[in-house]
Amino acid sequence: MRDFLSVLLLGLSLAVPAAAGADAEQARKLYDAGRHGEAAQAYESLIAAAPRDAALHYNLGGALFKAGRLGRAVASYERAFALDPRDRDARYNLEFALQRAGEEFIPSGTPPFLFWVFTALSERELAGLHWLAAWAALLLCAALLLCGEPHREPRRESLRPWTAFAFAAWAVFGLWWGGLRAVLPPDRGVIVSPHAEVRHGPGSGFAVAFTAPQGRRVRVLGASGAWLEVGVLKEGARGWIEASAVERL
Amino acid sequence: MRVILLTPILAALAAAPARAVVTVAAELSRSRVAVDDQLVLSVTVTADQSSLPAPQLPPMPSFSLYESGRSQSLSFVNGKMSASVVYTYVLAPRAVGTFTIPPIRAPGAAKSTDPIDIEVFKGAPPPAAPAQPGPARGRASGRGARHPDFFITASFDRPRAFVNQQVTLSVRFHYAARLLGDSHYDAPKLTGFLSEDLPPVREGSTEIDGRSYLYSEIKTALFPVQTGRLVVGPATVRCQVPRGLPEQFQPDFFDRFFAMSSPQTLTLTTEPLALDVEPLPAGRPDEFTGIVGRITAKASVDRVEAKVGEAVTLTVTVAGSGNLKSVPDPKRPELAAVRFFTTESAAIVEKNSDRIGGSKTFRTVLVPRVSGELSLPPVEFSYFDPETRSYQRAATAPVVLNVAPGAPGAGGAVASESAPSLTTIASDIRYLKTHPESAPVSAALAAFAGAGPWHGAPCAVLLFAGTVAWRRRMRDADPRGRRLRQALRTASARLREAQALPPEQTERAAVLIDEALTLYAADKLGVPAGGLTLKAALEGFNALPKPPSAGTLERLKAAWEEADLRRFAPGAAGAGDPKRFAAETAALLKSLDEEVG
Repeated sequence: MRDFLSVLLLGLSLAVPAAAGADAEQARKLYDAGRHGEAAQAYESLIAAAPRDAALHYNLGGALFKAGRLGRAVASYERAFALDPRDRDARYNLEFALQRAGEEFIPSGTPPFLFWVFTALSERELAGLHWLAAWAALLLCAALLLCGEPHREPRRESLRPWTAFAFAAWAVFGLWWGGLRAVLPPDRGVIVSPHAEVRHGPGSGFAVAFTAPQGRRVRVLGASGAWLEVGVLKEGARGWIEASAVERL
Repeated sequence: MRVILLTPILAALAAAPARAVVTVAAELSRSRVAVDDQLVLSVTVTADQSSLPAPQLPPMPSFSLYESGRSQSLSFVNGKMSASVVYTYVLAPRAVGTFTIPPIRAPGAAKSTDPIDIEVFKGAPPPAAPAQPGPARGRASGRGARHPDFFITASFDRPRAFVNQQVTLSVRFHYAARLLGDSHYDAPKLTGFLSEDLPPVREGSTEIDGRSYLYSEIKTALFPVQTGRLVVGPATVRCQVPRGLPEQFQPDFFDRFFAMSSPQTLTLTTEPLALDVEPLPAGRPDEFTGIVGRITAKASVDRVEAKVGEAVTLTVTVAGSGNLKSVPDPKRPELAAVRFFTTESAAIVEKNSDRIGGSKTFRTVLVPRVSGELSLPPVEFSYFDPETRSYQRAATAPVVLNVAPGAPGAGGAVASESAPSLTTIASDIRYLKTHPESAPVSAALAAFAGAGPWHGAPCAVLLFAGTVAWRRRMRDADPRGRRLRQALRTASARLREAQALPPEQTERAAVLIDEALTLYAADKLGVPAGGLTLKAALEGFNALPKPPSAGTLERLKAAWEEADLRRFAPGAAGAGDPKRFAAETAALLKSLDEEVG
């Protein structure tokens, strides 16, 4: 148990935003001075030390956007949004950048309310809630088993509703988490090259099927050497693109 | 248009009658028009007074409307004055469909005009009608002779023209004999044209086929507003000439004498004159508004240094040739950093060398909303150059304003016309996060989700609890076996308690040791502990499937008896140590338990 607490504290220390240091201040000054490319490099260095810091990904997205690298800005905002989906600034900037890329933040046909509810929690938060509910359900179930003697019947009765609640929460968060993983599969990416050429096969010898604008979100369907098979989420088109033209999320 | 030649207009505008009668009438040049074409609305206000009210045009959102000009006429009939003003408007349709021009009123008029329906159809304007025979030059004379004393001609300066291109109509009155009194000119009916007078009346002399003539010439600039063959109606000149001309019809001297002294009225008219009007060629720019001619544009501001909230006047001037009165207001640039107010325009018409031109100036008040360098983009006008037969573009140079921050409340002077509201100047991403918000709960959840193998711990706990519960259930299902298995444990617990007692509690220790022996025997034999005697216990042990040895039973008997003695006759018992006795009893029960199993 002592080891588990150590892991928990370590996780907490990593999750707390670490952008308040001198390097973060230096990056911000570069941004303010209009040296957006250098600011992006500084934020990338900070992210290497704290990859789960949503604020750093948000700031990196801003620097990249100002530097004219729309595709990479969208990728950074996507990461910031995935880590902290309730951050209004991250939502706004992601939506803004996606509009520049010709994409909708909320997929067409999706009721906005449903989208907001579905993305109210991050995948990591949902996983944590899922496991927390699982722990509670199993431990309460064990307590019920241990309180099987007749003189402990009152305590057993008091544990029953909590156990049922824990199991229900486990089911809800489990389904939610699974649904989110299904809708947002991990093999996603963003096109980072301006007007990248998507071909009919994995090689420059194949004809160009279409061009995709920078910032367009894709799903990586397969790989062959230095080429990726991608499906453009908005249009539903698919083809092969050089791996360097896609930043995987 | 009515012009009185050779006679100044009498300044005989008498006092207005006590009750003026005002009438208003409206007429359209045609009832059907293509959406790319134009038509003319003529509104005539007539009254028996010299000052005439202007008509009040209702809103016509389906048309772009601009005033093209007006002409006024006065007449005296039997000493009664009548005045009328014809206001000419050009309507350019904005959409396809059937529209109605609402009634037009004039102040003082008892009745407004009737509604007028217009059908606007999609497509090009109708092509020019096939040419009809007719002279491009009209001539009439009082007597029909080859070289009469009086005749008039009408001609255009060009046989064909584009829509909105200037055509000059010249009506020339030739006379080779003396005129008596005033001559009156009635202008032709100009349907399908906008007209602009080209004063003054030219006077001169010319020679035709060896005969000398004096002439008076009136020129009018015409701008066709529709395509096809347009016909200018006959122009008329009424003049007073000596009676008896020509001489061969008055052989008598007296007749000739009285004829010379009593004038007769001679009316001369021209033949209708046709003009073929071509539509403008295809490829017109989107911003083209129908200007035909050649123009230039320039823009300026009354000052280049201003503060936020201060009014600056932007002046855009279009100059050149053509009917510049019809140039619409320029399109305002979409600048969120500037608030534009109403544009006022003024046209100056110049008539040099019989060509209509001049300039039109648009003044717009604008108020900067934000500080900094404010660049007003070029204002563009598209026009058709009939000389090159191509569409051209005239654009102003960009105008740059240096806007300084305004004092608090400085912008209110102009902006107070409406309630203050938030104005979006530009959209951009939000700024960096300088103080990221910590989310310990979210971080803890994320860390907890990454616990990995530790998530198996509750399963282990559940497995343990299940094992315990199962064993408990097994135990509860066999009470006899439970007593057998726990006999030694129950007895040992009492013996340990007896050993732990202080030396002065020997009686309590004796009770516990006695109970330990009794309970052990009862549990092993499966009988109630109450009333169990030593004899019954020994018999019971001997009856077990695996009886203990005789020595052990002897030791049990001795211990049982000593325990009873210590419990019930402590005074008669030996002074043995209770702790030692308890230890010996524990060893005895252990060996007994091992033997009986």
